[in-house]
Amino acid sequence: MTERQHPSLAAEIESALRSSPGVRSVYRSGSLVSNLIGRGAAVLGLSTRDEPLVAVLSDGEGVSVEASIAVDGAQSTLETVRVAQTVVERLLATAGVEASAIRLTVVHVQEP
Amino acid sequence: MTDERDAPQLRRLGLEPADLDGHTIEQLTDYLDAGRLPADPSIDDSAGCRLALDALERLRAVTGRLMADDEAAEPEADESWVDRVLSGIVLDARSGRRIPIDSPSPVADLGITEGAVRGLVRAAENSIPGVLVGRCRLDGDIEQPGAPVRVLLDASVPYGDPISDVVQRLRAEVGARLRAHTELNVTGIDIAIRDVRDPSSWNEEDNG
Repeated sequence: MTERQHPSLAAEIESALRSSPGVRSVYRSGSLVSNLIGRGAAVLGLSTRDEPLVAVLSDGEGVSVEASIAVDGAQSTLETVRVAQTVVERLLATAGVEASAIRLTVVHVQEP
Repeated sequence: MTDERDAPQLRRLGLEPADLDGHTIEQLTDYLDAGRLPADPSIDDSAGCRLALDALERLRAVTGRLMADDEAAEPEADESWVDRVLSGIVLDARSGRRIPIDSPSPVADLGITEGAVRGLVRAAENSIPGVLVGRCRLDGDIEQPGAPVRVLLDASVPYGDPISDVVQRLRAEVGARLRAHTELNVTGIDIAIRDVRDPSSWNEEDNG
């Protein structure tokens, strides 16, 4: 099964997440190892810090999205992340893309 | 970025260089000193570094002096309360386990990192002047929805405040935060007061 990346869709999702209520920041997804690989790739000129922070991959059955976010501590994190997930799901539906998985992880709850 | 010369000090705090995405606690302290300018994306774009920066700012507000000075004044073998707080701060920067958050959507996979929750617990110190949270641990199978979880944390309190009152307020604040931001089934919050700080002794140390 071949996975294919969707950089433009990833950028749209990143923008939508940043606009979602209670979301303060979007961080690079993935493990520390993959982040370090990304830094190495940037050094070699293969990618830049401007690349989308959201990972979007398709495997033929649909699109899977992965993102890490920081949220506003003044609001319920539970509510914020559920709304953010809905925002992503709607964006994919509007784009005519079937979502197979939307994985959002809160990595920082910022103090108000 | 971390080099090998920084590694022993990090490891003295029970840490590995990778815990702060390649940065050291000293680099983050310097970054705070400089007002976070010029902006360093490798720090600003790291959730772990941001968690640590928030906690370092609160620590600085309480101590009113640089942690680097304090560490230099302390004997190598005798961990100071600042060391304990610092080690807790950097422990928070580790993402740790992923705690699930329920969703009605069949395609959703939502969660919050253990590090984010530890940071949330630590920030409860904001509500109780003078209190500093040291190490924080979530004891239980937090990756399993509904599993019982105990929160274990150390704290440092200022001399003069009734400890039982401080503990009661801290426990209430931590519980409220966990209820608002997680679905953890918290069965207990155990708080150990490890240090009672006498502000007058800080001045003596500073002058000595």
